[in-house]
Amino acid sequence: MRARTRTLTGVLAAAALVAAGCSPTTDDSGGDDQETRTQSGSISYEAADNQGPAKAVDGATRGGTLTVMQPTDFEHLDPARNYVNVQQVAGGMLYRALNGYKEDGSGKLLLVGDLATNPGKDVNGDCKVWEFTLRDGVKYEDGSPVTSKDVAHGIARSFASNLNEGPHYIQQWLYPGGTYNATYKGPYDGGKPVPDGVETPDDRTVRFTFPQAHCDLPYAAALPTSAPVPAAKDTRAGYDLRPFSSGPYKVKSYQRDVALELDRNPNWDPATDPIRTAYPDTIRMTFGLEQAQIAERLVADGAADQAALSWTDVPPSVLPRTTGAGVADRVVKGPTQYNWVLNINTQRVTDLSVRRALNYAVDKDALLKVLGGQAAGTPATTLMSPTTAGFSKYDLFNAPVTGDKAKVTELLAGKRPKLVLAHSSLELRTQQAEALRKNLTDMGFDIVMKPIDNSSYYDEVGRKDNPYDIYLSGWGSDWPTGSTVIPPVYDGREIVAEGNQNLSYLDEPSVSAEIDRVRNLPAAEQDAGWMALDRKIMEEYAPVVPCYYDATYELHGSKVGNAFLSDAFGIISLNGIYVKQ
Amino acid sequence: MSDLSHPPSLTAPGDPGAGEPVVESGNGLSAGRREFVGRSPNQLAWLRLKRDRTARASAVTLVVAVLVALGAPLLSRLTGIDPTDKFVDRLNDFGMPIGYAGGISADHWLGLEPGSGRDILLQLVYGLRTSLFIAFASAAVASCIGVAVGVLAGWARGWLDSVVNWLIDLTLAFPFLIFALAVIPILQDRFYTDREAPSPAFRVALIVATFGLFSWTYTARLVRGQVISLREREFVDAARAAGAGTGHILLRQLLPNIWAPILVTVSLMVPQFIAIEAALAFVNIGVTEPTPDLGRMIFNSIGYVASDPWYTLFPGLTIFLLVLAFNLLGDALRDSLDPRSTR
Repeated sequence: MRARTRTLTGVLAAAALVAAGCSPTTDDSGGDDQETRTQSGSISYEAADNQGPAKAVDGATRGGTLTVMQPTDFEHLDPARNYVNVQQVAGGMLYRALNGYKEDGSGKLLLVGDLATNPGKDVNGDCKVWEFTLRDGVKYEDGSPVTSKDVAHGIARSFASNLNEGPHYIQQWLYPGGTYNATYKGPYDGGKPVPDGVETPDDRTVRFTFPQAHCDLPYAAALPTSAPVPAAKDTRAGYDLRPFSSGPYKVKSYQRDVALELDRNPNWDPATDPIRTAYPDTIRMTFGLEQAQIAERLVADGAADQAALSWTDVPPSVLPRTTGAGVADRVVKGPTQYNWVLNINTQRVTDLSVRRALNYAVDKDALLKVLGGQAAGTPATTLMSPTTAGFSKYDLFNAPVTGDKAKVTELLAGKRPKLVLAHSSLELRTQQAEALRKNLTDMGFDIVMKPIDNSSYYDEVGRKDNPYDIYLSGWGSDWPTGSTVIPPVYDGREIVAEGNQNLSYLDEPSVSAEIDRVRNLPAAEQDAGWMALDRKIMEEYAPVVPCYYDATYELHGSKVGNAFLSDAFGIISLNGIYVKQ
Repeated sequence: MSDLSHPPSLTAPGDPGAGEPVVESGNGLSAGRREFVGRSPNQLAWLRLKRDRTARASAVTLVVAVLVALGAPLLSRLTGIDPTDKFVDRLNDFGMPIGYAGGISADHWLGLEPGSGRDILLQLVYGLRTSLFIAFASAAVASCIGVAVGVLAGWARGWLDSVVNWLIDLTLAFPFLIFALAVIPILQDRFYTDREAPSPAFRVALIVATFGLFSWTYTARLVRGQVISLREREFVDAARAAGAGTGHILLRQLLPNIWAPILVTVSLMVPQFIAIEAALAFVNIGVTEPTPDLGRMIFNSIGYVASDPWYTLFPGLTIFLLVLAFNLLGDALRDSLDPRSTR
């Protein structure tokens, strides 16, 4: 998943000037040290986990209106185009994919069947043929039943070139080699109604047949592209504004960039849904407020905002005001699946000792404090985030968090490399880059700062022949295993002319070969395999400097109940949320 | 930048050569005899200015500001702190300065910036340097262009005058901010490759040039009017009859008579440039990191107004005092140069 759009926009806070506190700011900012939770993610075939209804939340009440305040509107709600975490959580209220994540806020993350009765049957035990059986009694908002044909149509339309923004794992697996939609271009304009390898023998069964083994399919089937779209209701590009509901809510009104209002889908049956409790009667999402305004309003907890929450992080300038009584208990924080690294363009910085020196040099503490310190994350030493299954922490360089000058001097051996540091021109990103410039200059590098407009930042550094040497980027797994971190970001065979995810442009045959080997390991051994490869890449090539494991720090109003951090999405989950009456 | 073209009204100074008859009456009455001292209009203006307490206070403020800005490296050596030094260890887990009042301590007299941990005092004095330099240099450039164009238009008459007037109208109508947004990044890319950072001097020069290019119109109009009213005067005729060339008449006869209003416009232009330079930081085309800049500092600090008001206070107060002092001095200057204006 591309780095979450952490909106670090410059903000003009219209905040009232509060008399300067007469107490000193202390080193203890009220936040307890975040223990990094390791996702105990697993796929559950237990009947108890897979059966609806979802377990009732203690003390929860039905009814009320929940408000979600967001700085910007969702780019896409169409399940075929939905690839950003906030959109996926919002979309999860409207449509149900084959699988889904069942969470209760304790850190336990279970992948269970959502539309399907279980997370997928590996028919031959070789991970090549997978079968899903849909639940009985799942209905659309107009009362018609959800059929397997609709799931197949949903997948078919995700091949269309104008609906291409979503994840393309299943699509790529169906047509391996080349671009995912080079052969099959969707059901429109005379295309086949379903792609090769997708069959619907009856109204309740979907069968996938892949040329290669893909033991990760249950996870890929939790992505929104497997949500059902009835062909009769498919409005193609227009579907973005009005997805046809198969979930607990339906679109009541949607005014782009202003508000999206959801009310109940009367035909949703809680007995068919093991994941969602759907307590609020309506969910209202509003767009357009600044990040700091949202945070200030949630801190103030005025009557209108008590049943509100936001998926945007509290900006650093508001953080100190979230530790007081009455606010601190409304903070939802914790690690997310995103990991921020300083990419070293290995096409330009070919000297391994320089890359290692950078690993000793970077002051991760300074990078974090610009963004709000512990609220923004914890220093990283690995490529995968601690939320990945099978994660085991290692620290190859064992440098202090502020850097190890002696080691850097030793590795550079009298050289003073000139490096071009590209950064987004957003205020906080610029400050972060300046912190890095100062830090690396002191450590013995010559740094040139190049600001890039934020909207084209990833496009610019994603160009293979970009002129920059080092640049920060964040990457989060699409599901909590290493298979959506290491292969997309460190496999040299994935490098294309533009739009790369492999931003260090590491192209090592030994890494690629190892990726293939781990992919073909039995499912149980893969997690350890990815972790070992993570370490091998850092040890032998050091293509990046792991900087910090991203953390989220969100606020909700005092009347929001059971707001917890979703480990699958890294933001407040809506699945068990309720409005206190 | 339409506001630049509408400074406070400015009436023409007294007739040249026809300065008021002497009004100064030393301390002579008690001595029983009236002593007449001949003073030029400039001397009179200077006397009036010296008597103005507001002007004195403003001037002192400005001199202090300029001295502080010039002495910034000295302060840096004295404290042993570079403006880009980061004291991250003095920030807490949220990136807020530890201690009272934004981390004010014996080492950091005005505290530390939250997030980056830079010393506010050093950032401030170095930022003051950048801001004052840009403001003064821009005012100088704008005035030079304005005077040259104004004298040309006023003296030339005919079609050249029309063309210049038309050019002034065009410049006034041109949206300054959009121009700056479009041109500054393009020029930067033109002169520097992908792997070079524009030098701070280049960036500052660009800003000065942009300001100069858009702010000469008011001076030009003023000077043109003055030249038109003076060029038919007897002393000009006399000079011409005595065989003086155009250059002599323009530089030696006319210019000395119009420097006073020019001085006033300069004194009013400087604070405007300081404020606009600060505003440029808000749209990311001002001076960039790591060059310290007062405007950008204010921009960054505004978000912290509730959580660390000290960070907002010091740069805000500095720019407030600076702009106020300049404006008051400009007003006082105008009053002293034009005794007929009402106070």
